[in-house]
Amino acid sequence: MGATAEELSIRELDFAAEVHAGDPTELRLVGSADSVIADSLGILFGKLHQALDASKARAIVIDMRSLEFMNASAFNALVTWLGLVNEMPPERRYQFRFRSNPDIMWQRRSLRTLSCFATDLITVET
Amino acid sequence: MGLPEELVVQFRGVALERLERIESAWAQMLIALSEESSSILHREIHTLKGESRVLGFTDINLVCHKLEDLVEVARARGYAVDEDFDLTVNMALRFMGMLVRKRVGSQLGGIDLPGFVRQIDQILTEARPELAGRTRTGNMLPLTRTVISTRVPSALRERLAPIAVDTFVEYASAKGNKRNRLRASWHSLRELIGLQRALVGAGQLTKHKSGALSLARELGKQLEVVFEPGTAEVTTEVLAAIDVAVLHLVRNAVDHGIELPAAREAAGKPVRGKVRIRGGMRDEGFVLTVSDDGRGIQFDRVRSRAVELGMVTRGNAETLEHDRLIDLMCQSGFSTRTEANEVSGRGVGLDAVRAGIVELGGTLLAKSVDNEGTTWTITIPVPMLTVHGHVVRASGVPFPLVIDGSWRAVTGGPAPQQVIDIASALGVGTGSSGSPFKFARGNQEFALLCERPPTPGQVRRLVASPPTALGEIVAIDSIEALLLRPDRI
Repeated sequence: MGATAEELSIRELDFAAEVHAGDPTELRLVGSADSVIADSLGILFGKLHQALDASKARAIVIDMRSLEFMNASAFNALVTWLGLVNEMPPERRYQFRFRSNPDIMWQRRSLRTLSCFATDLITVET
Repeated sequence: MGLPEELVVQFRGVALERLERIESAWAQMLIALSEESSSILHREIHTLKGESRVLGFTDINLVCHKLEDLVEVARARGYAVDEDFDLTVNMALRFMGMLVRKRVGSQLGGIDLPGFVRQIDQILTEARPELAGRTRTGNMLPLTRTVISTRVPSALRERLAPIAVDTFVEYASAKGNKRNRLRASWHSLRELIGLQRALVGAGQLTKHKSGALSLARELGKQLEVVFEPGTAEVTTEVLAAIDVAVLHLVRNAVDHGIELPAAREAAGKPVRGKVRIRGGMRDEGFVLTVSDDGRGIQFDRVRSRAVELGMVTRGNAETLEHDRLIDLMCQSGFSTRTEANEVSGRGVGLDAVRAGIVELGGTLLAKSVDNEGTTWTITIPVPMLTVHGHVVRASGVPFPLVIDGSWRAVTGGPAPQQVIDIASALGVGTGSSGSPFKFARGNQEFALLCERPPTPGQVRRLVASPPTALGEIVAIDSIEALLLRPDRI
């Protein structure tokens, strides 16, 4: 990946996004993502998408197990990212593997709904 | 036969623009109620639904229909929806955006339309048990949150407000399952005692105009109704009181005030009587007048009826001024009719009007001139629904803080003696770090340890609390925050 893990991280008062290089690359989201960080999150996802595309990645793991909440603005950034991948030629698309916390209601519901956008690209692990 | 490509391209462009407008209007409605945004929201969804059906985009049409259901539920709740609901509406918009963009004639691929619709249906089932069985009216439902019968009286609400603040602070600082549990408690409290916004305006009150015309026809009277109720953001309680007041005052005006055509003609008046309803926000609150050009209050009849009902003695009745007689008219059980009919006579009406208004700290006044008519004036104080403040973030405090706008953010000068470490003060962390930022009001000043300088902003009040409380819960966009009263820390 071109960008460093540090460049692809967000650390706010009650939210953190950390990228861990590897195969597959892992993105850990921790805390509570609200409108305040939605823009930064959108930028992070855009950069990460470019990096994954450039490295011909086959998958990204998004670990949400410690993500307490994500509001609509922040979640929209995730949907936009998924849209970018969905519009790529099939051979360049990569998979989204979500690690979720089954005890968190909004995660169960939102990830189930999100997977309806692209059942062929999304898997949700609990 | 497929649609011409040109038509499809045009539809796509228009649909995406509509989706943008819907998203923008939805976001606006969550911040501050506005009849204009509500109208845009409903109109754009409905139009997109119609266009997609006509052009055969059945998938978009279906999601549009579900989105319309979601927005209908939100409207019935005064757009006071939780984050999960907001998320679902946003995802529905994004889903439609994806359907609009997909290539012409292409298969749905990995898109699970039935699954998505099932998810929305589940949200709808959970969100609207109270609306079950109600069908869409298609046009204007009341722009107000459903008044929940379990809401508590205002006096008890004041006592519960500081408890709500504590519950919010505990919830917002908790983690894991504890957070989920406390979130449910906080949301229940917010539902019970929170400020429920409503828009008072023609959309809500217009039914009384048609009701008045219908009643006039029944009574053989000719009537013109001038309807200018104004538009204002109020609470559901204020709206309910106004609704009851307009109902009874307009019916009274038509039944008791406006004369039959022959009597009006004999009195030298136009045969068509006039009832005027006017309203609007003033400094003292929402003011609404209901006036008629009828015969005026027949104070002699009020006197004699009050004596018959045993409300006053005959001797006292003769000395009563008009104001006192109007007061008697507003007491339970008073009616100048000796027998109740379908319209009036049960002595229920003005007392209901006054009780609703007085409970909210308002007043009901009347001015009547013989043979010229009567004007009732209602004034109801409306709680401030938005306030200005300084938004700050303090380390260790997992939610934004707002300092009331009556305090000035001050730069420079000597550091004040009182520096508040809000994380410690609230007991939510081991202490705040950062720089002290100074605030002043009159000769008072204090500093708060903050991560970054305060930014001015407008916040929406969620749960009003008395001035003696530590603060109250507000919303910045859709984010809940604690508005602090520094002098209470």
